[in-house]
Amino acid sequence: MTPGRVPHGGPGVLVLLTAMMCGLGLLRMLVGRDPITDEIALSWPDAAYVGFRSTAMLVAAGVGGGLALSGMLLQAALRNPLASPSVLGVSSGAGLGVMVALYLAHQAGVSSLPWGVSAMLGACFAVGVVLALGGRGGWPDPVSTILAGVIVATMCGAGMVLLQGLVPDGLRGRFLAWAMGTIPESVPGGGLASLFVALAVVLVVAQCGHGRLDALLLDHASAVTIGAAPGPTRLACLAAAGTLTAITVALCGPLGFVGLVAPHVARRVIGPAHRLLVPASVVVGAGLVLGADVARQVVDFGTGRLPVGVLTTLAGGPIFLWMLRRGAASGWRTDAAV
Amino acid sequence: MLQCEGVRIQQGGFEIGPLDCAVHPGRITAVVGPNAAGKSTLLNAMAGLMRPSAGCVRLHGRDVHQLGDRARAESLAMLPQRPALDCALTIEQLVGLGRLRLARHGSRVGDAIASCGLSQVRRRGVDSLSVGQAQRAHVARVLAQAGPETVLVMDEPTAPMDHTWAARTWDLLAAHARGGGGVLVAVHDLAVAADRADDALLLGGGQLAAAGPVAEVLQPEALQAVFGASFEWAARADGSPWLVPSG
Repeated sequence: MTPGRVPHGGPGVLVLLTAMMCGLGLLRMLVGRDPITDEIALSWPDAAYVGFRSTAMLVAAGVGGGLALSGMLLQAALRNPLASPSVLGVSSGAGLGVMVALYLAHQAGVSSLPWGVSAMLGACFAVGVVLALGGRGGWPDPVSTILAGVIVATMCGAGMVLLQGLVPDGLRGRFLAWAMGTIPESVPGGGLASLFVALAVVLVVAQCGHGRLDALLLDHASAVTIGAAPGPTRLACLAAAGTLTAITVALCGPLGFVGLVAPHVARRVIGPAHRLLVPASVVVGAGLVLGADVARQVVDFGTGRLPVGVLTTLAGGPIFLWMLRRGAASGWRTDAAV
Repeated sequence: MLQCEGVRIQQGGFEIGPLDCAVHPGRITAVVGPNAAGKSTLLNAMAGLMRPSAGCVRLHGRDVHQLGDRARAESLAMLPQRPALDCALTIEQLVGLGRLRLARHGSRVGDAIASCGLSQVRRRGVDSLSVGQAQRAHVARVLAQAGPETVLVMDEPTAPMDHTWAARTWDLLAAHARGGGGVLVAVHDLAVAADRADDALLLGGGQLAAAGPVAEVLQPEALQAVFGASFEWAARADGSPWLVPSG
């Protein structure tokens, strides 16, 4: 890229990205494990398994899109390229919620546990605390919010470790499996619908307000005097990102790096203006998780299918580092935090 | 018209005011004073970014804090002291934000970019420009936002610019004033203020030391009292007056 040139992928690039995402979705329908032999199967599934694979495909696409949209909103609202859903402490809050529920269930002798509800409650609690502590003058302040998020995430992490020592090994193992993230092939009633309704609402609102998101890239005084109302816009971004992430964590557990990397990949190919960046982030995030879910069907280390969260982190980390190098070489600012 | 009526502003243990002053349509008003005199604080308060502890700022007769976002954007445009020079948007996208809440006029954005000499680089990222060019991009954003009666509030707009573009920026502000708009400019260069402004507000220690037509305000005695330095009016080769440090 020529130094100083902002990438200008137009609608054509967005169509191409969408086609790639659809291709990965189709691939996910074709690739799977035989439920009896656990062998890799590359074919359209039997009628009995179409529902499982289509559910997994939709969950992967929705969760990837939701996490990417959350990350994009947070990076805009906090004016920080390192912002991601984990910054708000959502994942840690959800983890603590699950761990508290596990502990209480153990104490009460209850065997079944509403993982999703526990994660949702914990995530919402963490977001609420961060928003309450990160405000200044009635509206979220980028620096205070990030600091509050880091502290809340750390405290939730410490709480999780504490509670892990108080439950039996079996429960601890279940928790650790959940904490590495998974793409379920069946979802309790309403889970998938709530994910896609929330994603659709946030996507439409963000798309309609793309100019206000652009204005968040300006200084506060300029943003206020052009009429962008940066305070309320920031609050809306943080609340929407927190809600979306909470729903994804409730469904799949925490998936690392998607919310951080996907908006950067989209920005890299389509530019920083939010008119196209909003849908592009969703498409890239969906494609990333779909690709990771396809990969976990194929990759076999003899330990069964890998947790998808491990794959998104192992793939996302190098992608981010590569982009960091490429960005530094082509004039892409990496010191624009806060 | 943009008016301060008995305005007091408190910020971090520092208080300025009470201030009574006005920015009149068709005139450029310069705010001058030494460092930490309260120039930027006054501009921020007049732009409605800070709520006064007492008094009222009125924009075209209405309390600036009672105006909605769109109404304020129609009546006032601002270049702050530290605009986002590292903004990742292109110049075209940045300048277009000036019309975010206002009706899009086809040529307004392009004209503003052209007037600031940035047409050739309009697709470049603001963060890839020199500081002076990026400042011009923000000036263009303010001009794109401005209608004929808009009050421009500019905090040291030409500070990072070279001599040529500083002069052209003052020309652009003068053109806006000639069209009926008001202009409020914080500026350090007293000679430029004396040469380009119609009115002046002289601030010292958070107090308004003098206000009025520039030739009356920028008198050596008043400047000596506020700056603790000597100035004198000299004559240029063409006979026009010129304010210069003396001693």
